[in-house]
Amino acid sequence: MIETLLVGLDAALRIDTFVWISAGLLLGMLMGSLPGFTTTMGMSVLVPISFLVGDPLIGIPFLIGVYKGGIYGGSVPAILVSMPGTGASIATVFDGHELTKKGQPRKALEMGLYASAISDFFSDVFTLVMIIPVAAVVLNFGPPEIASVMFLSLVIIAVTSTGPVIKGLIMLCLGVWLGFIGADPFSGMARYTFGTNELYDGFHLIPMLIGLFALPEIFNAVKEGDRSGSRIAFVGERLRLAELKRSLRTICRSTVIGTGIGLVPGLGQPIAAMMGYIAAKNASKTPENFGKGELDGVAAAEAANNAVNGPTMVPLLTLGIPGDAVTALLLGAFMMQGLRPGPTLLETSGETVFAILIAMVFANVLFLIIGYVTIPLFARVVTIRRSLLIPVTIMLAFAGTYLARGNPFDIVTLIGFGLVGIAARTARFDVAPMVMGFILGRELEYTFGQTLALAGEDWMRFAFVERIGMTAVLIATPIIGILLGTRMNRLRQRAIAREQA
Amino acid sequence: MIPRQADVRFTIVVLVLATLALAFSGLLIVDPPIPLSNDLLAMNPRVFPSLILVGTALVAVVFLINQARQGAFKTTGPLVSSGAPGPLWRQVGFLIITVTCALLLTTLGFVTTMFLLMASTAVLVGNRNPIQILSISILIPVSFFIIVTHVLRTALPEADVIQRMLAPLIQLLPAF
Repeated sequence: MIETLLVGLDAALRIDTFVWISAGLLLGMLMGSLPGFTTTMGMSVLVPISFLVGDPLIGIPFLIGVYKGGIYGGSVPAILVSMPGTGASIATVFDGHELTKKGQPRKALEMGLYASAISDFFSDVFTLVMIIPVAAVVLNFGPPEIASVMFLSLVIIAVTSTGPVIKGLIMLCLGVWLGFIGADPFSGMARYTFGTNELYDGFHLIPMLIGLFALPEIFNAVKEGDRSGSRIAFVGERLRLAELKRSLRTICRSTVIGTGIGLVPGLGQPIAAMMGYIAAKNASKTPENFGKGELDGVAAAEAANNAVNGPTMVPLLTLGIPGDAVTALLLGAFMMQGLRPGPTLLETSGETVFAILIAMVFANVLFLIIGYVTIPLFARVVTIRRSLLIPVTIMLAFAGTYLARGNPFDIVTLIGFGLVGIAARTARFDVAPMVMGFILGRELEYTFGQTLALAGEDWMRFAFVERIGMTAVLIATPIIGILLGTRMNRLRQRAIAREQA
Repeated sequence: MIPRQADVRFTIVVLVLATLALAFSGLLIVDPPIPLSNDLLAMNPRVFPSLILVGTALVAVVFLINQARQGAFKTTGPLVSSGAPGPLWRQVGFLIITVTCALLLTTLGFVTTMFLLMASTAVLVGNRNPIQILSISILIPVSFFIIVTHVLRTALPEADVIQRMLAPLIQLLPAF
């Protein structure tokens, strides 16, 4: 494995990889900086570019750049105009915008950048170190263990989705069912295809993702009309080294929180940022300053949300389980590049995977440099008119969908899922569980079928002697679901109370 | 009695779909031609979809019962949905234009369809500057088309007229 890692290191050190990472970082920061534009939307319209360039060592790092840049970029409007560019930046608003009101936007933005880059770097190194033992363990997994872990992941994704758990469950079931459209994995017989050939292979992931994530955002922008933020002067003192040093303990704490959350599918950046912020406030000697322009508040939220980025790759690459909407997009990009995330990925394409992960670690250095140079630029981006950017986004959505396979039916899929996304958004249903259900449902059916075949007649022996790991995960699933659901409800209530205050 | 809440209506649609898919699963799922034994076929193609559909229907019913208890089926009261309210014509217009352009993409070609789509979206979002609208909706699709077809060598649907118009421009570019 170490040998593969070294080959990966050699493959990662390419100038074109770093050029594309930089492009991704810039585009991500641009998307994140625009109020009303989310990282998910940005990534969904840029996924097709990643496979158009052909090489996975260019395409995937490009998307990772967009991801990292987008999460950081979201803090810019959060700090300057109190409008979080992404859900991950909600906790950044609490103190970031207060600092802007006090005339210190530069200090807040710089703290956000340093905290993001430091936490991202360490969480990526952790990912690189963790993936080897996790992959070794996962290699011993058979269909029963994979099916049980997928089931656990689906439950976690449903209970941690935005809004009530029951809504998450409805969307999850809907997504799993949509995944059944097409050929049955065992017999090859058509299901819910209405006799059409186009549906025999099921819905293609890329148009579905673009439809669900990009079109509702565009529709919302059309609904709200043109809007641009008020011009904010990028002024104030720079962040002093002593201030950064003072916040290092907070950054470390948030990095640990974000890294832990990133490993669990379904939780994601917004929860990490909120938990990092709460932990920093609880640990602070001056908790009364939080919410009034405390630099530690910005550092805590930004470090926690960026620390999630790397570890989400662990369940994605080793088990094929995407943790959130963005990693679902990354999964689509991996698959389009001919890489199938799952237990055997490191065996079949170890060099490429390690090269991507190493590029991800190096990307943080570029992230710091580009972020530092472009802070004044992105502070102005907040004021760009949406009526100039929305038409470009919709063109990218259409073009990206068509370019994925060159199949005109994908445009119909895009529109269909766009309408579903718009309806779900209007009804306040989170589409992320639906996407996870779509991706994992089919795999779950396949591994569940294999489990049935393996189990044979003697079920009791199979469950409690031969496959005790599977049984343990299945028993733990409802307990984890209930505990996590209760915790999430408390966190949501706290966030609502905080917002109202 | 039409429920006023958008989430209730959405759930009703999901429930109806799940019930219909369950009821007509005999028609919608093709049976394997030869009865396969358990050794060959681990699971009947109907088993998992039926389980999920029953689950979907159950969860939707539980949600609807909860909402009914909270008075969601009352005919009075405000319509509850997310997002800021906007003029209906803009939303309907956007949907019509998007669907029309999706249907016309292969017939009219990429550049023309994207011109229509981008220009109308810009107007719907609120841009009233004709120079800005024309420049973004012509220059960006044309540049994108040239990059994709000439640099990345990937096909995009395009009408012959537009391809002939762009040919001299593409010939001026260096080969990649």
